Amino acid sequence: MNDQGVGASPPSSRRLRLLMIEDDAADVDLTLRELKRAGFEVEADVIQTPGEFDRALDKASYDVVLCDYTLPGWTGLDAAFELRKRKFYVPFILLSGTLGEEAAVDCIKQGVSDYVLKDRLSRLPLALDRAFQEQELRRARAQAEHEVRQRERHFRALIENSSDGIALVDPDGMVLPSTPATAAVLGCSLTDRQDRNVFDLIHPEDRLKAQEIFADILAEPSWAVPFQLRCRHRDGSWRWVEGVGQNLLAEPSVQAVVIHYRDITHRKEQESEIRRLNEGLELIVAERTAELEATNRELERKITEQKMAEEALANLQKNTELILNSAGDGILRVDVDGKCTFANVAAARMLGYSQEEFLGRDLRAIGLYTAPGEADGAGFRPVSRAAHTLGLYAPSVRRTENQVIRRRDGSAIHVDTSITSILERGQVAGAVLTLRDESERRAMEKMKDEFVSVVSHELRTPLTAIRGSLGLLAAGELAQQPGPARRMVEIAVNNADRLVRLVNDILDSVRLESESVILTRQTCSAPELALQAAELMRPMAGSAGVCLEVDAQPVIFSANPDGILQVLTNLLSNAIKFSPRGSVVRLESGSDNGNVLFRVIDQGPGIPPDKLESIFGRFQPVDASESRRRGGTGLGLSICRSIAHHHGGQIWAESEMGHGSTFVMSLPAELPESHEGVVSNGAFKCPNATD
Amino acid sequence: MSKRILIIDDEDDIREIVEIALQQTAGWQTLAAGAAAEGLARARAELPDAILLDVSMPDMDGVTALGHLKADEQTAAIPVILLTATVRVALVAQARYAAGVILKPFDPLTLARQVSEMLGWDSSGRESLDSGKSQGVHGPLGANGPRTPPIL
Repeated sequence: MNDQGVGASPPSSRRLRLLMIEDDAADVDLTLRELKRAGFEVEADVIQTPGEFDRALDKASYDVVLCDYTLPGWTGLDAAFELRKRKFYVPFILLSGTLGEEAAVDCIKQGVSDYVLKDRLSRLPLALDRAFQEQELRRARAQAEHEVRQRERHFRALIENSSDGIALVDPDGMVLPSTPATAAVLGCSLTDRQDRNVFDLIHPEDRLKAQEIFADILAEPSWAVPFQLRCRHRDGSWRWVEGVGQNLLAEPSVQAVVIHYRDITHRKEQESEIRRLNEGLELIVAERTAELEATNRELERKITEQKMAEEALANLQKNTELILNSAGDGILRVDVDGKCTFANVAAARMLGYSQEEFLGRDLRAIGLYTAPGEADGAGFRPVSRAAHTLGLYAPSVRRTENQVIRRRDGSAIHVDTSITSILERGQVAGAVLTLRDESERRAMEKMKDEFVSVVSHELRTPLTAIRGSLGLLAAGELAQQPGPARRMVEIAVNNADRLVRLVNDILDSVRLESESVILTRQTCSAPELALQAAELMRPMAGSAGVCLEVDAQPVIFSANPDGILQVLTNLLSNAIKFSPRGSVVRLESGSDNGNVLFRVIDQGPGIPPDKLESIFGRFQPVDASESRRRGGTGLGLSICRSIAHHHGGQIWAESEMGHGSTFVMSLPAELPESHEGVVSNGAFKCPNATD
Repeated sequence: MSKRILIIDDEDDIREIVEIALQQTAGWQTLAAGAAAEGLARARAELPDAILLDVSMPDMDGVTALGHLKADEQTAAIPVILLTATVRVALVAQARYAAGVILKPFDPLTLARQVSEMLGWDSSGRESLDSGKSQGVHGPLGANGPRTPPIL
């Protein structure tokens, strides 16, 4: 037949496999005809005996069984019973001639699908249809029930095999009957948790959080809200529990808040262990890193120190070289063999070689010294080798003064030398030779000597005249000769005056020569000074028959007024002395490019070009006797120049022989910060002057 | 016997004093020149008995002039005494050609006698105020003069 337990599906398209249990052939015909008439295509097996029934059932499957109620030796009910025994769920329709109500009901109770009266065979197709429908319904229901049961089984399997606990909780948190797994997780019996409130199980520290979560769960039935809390196990210990809760109160089959949870204590412990290990590891790593960093820093510090030391050394070397090369004296270093290992800039300059040319050279080769007693061709006796040797082997300074050394170009240079040996760890490692250029000093001394000698001469000359004249007078030699006597007195007086002037000028000259002299400055007016100078020289000009003209532009400048006045009077005095009678001496002042200019112009004989500069030297007049005759000291112009220099200015002469001379002084104006006041021009011309 | 002395010195006043001194104290005749060139010319022309020659003259210094005088055979025999305000080593060396050196300031009263002594003439004129000086070089009077090395 068909598969066990499930009813067959009704035949499709009215084909019918029929098992008919009927002993009356005429009834069979009738039935079959009726079925045909109803549109069924029938394939029928007709049997009578139970044995045939069994065989038929064994061999084939049928869509429907039609059975006569009354059968020889058996009844239709028996067949139905047999069918049911075999669990063949096919429609079984009894056919009967007569059937009482009770009997009918009985049949139905036995599982007969329907019964049809033989004299009402027209009802058969209907009964068949109905039976098939019923069968279909029954089959569908069985299917559905099967599926439900299957689902139930799955569900239960899930629940009962889950390691998670599930708690059902009412809105107040009261625990409802729970699952075996819950019991296992929490270590209690299935019944244990009734009448307990879930919040009592939660760790006091987590209770507030739990209540918040529970409120969330209740508030949103569609959400599964996760949580992680500590719960108390039956054995009293606290367990970490993680889970989800969902509000299924509205779900008719649940009507509770469902909480799934599992014990994560172990995991938590593992996590914390991992954390601890991690921390431990991090600590170790940090320590190691710190060690490395410290080592690194130390290294860096050492490197920096070394670099700094190297830099310091380089700086020191540079500084040392700088110092050596800035020294005014020549410094040379020789090694134990007398070879030069260093020469500073001054030494190179002094001797006319380059610094490099000294290196490795024996100083003897460059003529710096010779063997003792040996002089070179030019008759020089440079630093003796003995001295050099002494320097190398006797650790003391040996000084040799006033050597004349030959320079590269053959010229001579006066030097003051000293040799010191260099000691390194108690051993002589070389020598240092110092050369001091004496040329300038000697030149200076020579100049000084000359000056002293000239001054001495200049002073003695008037002194001689005074001594001589007074001596003659005192001895009464000229008692009878008033003329000469008077002359002697004149000579004494004049020379005394001259001496005064000379002494003043010499003192001025020497004082100005000293650079520590500071001439105090104040605001000066060029016209004022010009007019003042002119006033002072007027008597001299008058007696020389020379006319003085002044043309001064208003210029203000900062200067020492006495000094400027001295220069102007000096220049005017010179001009007057050398001007012929009736000529004009002009004094002009003006400004040019931030400088104040004074000019003294005369119409005298002029100055030869080769003397234009030298006249500003001491005791260097154009014509000495002429100058002396006119009372000059020979120092005037040099004093003027010193004064000009002290003001940061210049003084010079311009002249053409036969066409007079112009002496010009130019000073920086250097106006003071604030100056108020009006300066007027100073100018006047001589009456009847010819320009 | 009166001597004729040529004074060559660029200082007018000193020339005047020397002339008066020699005239008054010794009664000598004097000739004067204000410059070396002029002096050389006058020496050749006048052939004086002696020449007083100033050393520091602007146009030619006395030592050079001395050289010229000695080089010129006309004047070579004339004794020359150098007059100078400065003492120098070189000067002293040149004194070989000079009959003597007189330092300025000099005593006008003894000038003539100094000259006579240097040149080996008889002392003429009056007694000078100072006596006992018979060196070749006469130093200046007064305590503050420079030291004079005795030279002969």
